[in-house]
Amino acid sequence: MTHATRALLVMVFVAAPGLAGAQQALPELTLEELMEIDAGRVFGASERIQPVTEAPASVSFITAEEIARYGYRTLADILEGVRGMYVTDDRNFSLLGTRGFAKPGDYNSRILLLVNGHRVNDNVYGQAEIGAEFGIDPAMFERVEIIRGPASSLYGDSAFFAVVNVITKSGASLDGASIAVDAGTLGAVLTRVSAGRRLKNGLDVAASATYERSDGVERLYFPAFDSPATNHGVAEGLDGELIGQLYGQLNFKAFTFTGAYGRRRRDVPTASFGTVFNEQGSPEQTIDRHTLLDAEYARSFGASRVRFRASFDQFSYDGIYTRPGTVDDPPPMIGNNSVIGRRWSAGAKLTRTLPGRQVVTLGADFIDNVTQAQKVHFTQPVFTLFDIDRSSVQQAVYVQDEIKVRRWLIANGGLRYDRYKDFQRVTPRAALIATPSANQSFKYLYGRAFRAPNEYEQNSFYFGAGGKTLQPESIDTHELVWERYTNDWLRTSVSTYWYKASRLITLTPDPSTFFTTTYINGGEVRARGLELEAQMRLVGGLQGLMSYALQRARDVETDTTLVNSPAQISKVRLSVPGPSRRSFVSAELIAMGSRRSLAGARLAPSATVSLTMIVPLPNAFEFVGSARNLFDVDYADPASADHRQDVIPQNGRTLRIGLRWKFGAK
Amino acid sequence: MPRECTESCIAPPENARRSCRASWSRQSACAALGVALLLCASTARTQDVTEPSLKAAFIYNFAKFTEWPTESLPATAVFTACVLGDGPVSDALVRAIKGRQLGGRQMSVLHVQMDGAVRSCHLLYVAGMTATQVSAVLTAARGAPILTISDADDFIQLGGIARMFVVQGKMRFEFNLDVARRSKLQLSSQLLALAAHVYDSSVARPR
Repeated sequence: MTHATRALLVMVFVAAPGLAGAQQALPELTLEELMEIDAGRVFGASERIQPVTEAPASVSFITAEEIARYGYRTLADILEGVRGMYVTDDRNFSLLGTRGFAKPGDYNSRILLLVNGHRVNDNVYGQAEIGAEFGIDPAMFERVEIIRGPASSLYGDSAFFAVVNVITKSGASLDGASIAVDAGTLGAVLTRVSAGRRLKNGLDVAASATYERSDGVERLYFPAFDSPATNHGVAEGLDGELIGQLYGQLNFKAFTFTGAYGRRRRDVPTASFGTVFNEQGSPEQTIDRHTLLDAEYARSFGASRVRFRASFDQFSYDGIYTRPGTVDDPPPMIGNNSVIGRRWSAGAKLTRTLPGRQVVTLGADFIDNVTQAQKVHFTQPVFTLFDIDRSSVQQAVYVQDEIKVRRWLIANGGLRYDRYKDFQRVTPRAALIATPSANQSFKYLYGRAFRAPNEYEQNSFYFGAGGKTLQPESIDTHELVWERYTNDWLRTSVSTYWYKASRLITLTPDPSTFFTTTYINGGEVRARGLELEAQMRLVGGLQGLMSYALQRARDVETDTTLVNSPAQISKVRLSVPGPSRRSFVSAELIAMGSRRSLAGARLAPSATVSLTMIVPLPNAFEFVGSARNLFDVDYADPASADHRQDVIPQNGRTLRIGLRWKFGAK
Repeated sequence: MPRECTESCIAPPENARRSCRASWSRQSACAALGVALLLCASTARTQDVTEPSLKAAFIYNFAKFTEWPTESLPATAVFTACVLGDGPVSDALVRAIKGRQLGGRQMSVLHVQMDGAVRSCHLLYVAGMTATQVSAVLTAARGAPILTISDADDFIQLGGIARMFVVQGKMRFEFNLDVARRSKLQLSSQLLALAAHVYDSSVARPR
């Protein structure tokens, strides 16, 4: 494993000087080639487009081309390749770890997930769903921006550790129609139809539909259930997934309408939440549905730019949980946990460039959570355990000012006021960015963020009345960043951070409640880290990235490293043109240091390699082949307290092949 | 990057590489060393894919695909590219044209001021100005065979010829053909075909 890491590292180092010689200077490229180069700008760091070097955050982005070349199939796959991030999969949901923080059993409520700047974390769990349940096919992603650090001063709730902004494809970037079919191991099948065009009159239309299914691992063995009564610990045929996704976008002049619907059904093989193991009659299952409708109007008037946005989100979730019957009533009890969240939101924003090189942003957001409903209903025997239907409203105003103090110095400050029914929050952010030359920058960043207690944590049936008194948790982060573009082909960045997260909403024993646990504002976590990254983008088509993250996140009270917090994460990816014209072979290595499980066991370090190959065929066809976990490495992720297992085994080698047919391009 | 630097700066020394064996912490130290070495390699010639370099490459290409009237640009004359209000692009343009010619002719880059003599420029890139300032500059350039370029939002509406902008990470551009004609500049069809939009009132009206 370490050999593989080393081999790849050496390969990058040895290859790099040779490549530099082969590199063409920018002015020698054709216009078509120049139009393919990424300008290195981001949107989400300040809610306006700006160069990465001037953004008040440490930013990474992944382009559509990289998504295709590395064969990423979910947002989780994409984020797993990002410096310092790691994904924990419990074969139901994917938990995103950032800066050493990924408490098993938490939903992703400390990451803000946006689609074109529109919040998609749901309003019951506050969860950013990054697996296939996200609802939009990654083939429709134009870019994914990762903005590290607190950003509540701009976005409010959940922008705690990072903001992930998914920018979807327009008709102009689809340009034509495409049909894709995939098949692979574990019974995986995918069909996708997409089409888009920017018409002469300026109307831009894009649409896509995806159907995907897989059986998953046929027989999964969990030692924790190894007894004759529970099929010797083997869950049979309970790992399937069924996905349907629709996406559409329409743009005309200043108006953009976006709509998306996604549904995922996941069989859960782990018998979590005390359900019956290897239940074949009504197996444990979760269904997640997301509906997103967004209307945006954005235009410039002289030095001002205004944006109005109105949107609707619906999130619904159904979980089937079959629990063992009692001695008096032996048949199993089949429960359905159904959750619905609906919200309307409206926002307005004004960005104005003032004389003296100042850019001021003013904004206001209003969110009406019309439905925040949680219910558990049993179909056998028929009864309703609880039925909670709530609603709430939130208001916020924010301001941000960016001043070019000197030609080489930018000061950036932001402040946001959020009002909830039970509390209010003011979150600041400040940044000092020095750009001694156009190709490098030094940044000092400070930010505070909050995460409001979500509806699930305040569920009085599960956790008692204490949830009503929960306060938001908060984080203070300091960060130093050095970003540098070197030559035509290399970008490097070094960053170091330290944070203090306090009043963390933590589960604690409480015998008086239904779950015998409750949430309190308890824990405090302090962490420090160092992250290094080097990225190469060569015009010949060769590109690569290597990153390394060193981190120590510890619980202040117990003075121990957090559960599921690897001390080190290394990643290397390399995409090479060939063997034929316009074809690519791309490899990605993800290596993670040892982690501690909830029960205190140390999980062995792991390293997995994925390989993807794209080969153009005659008549506008394209072949795609990919292998994930190529060397069939046996590894596992820590489980949560909702599992009897301490660790959840991950997939071995999976293979997939696919055909793409593109037609009707302009 | 100078060739003599490549071996010593980028490849970790042999003993460092050997020490990378097995241990996680050592390996990470090596990775750190590796990145540090990559950073150290970054001295000397820097011509980078930052936005200014990319813009400079586009500006150079626009000039390549534009024809100036002979009276304003005689065969032996030096081509003058002017930059107003954007130091980084001006520097990048100087680097871009270094050792290069434009249709067999020498080029020079002039970093001009707001009240400078823009009419001696063949090409003028304007950035970081208010709409009023842009408008004033364009008035000063009106009618003269100057290829005006900017990334300002309303540049086309204000009477500029070429505007660059970023869409989903990629650089795109649009032209105002009416103004180009009035300035006696001939934009090649190749250039127009790649434009995101061409403002041309002559096609709308039947002649």
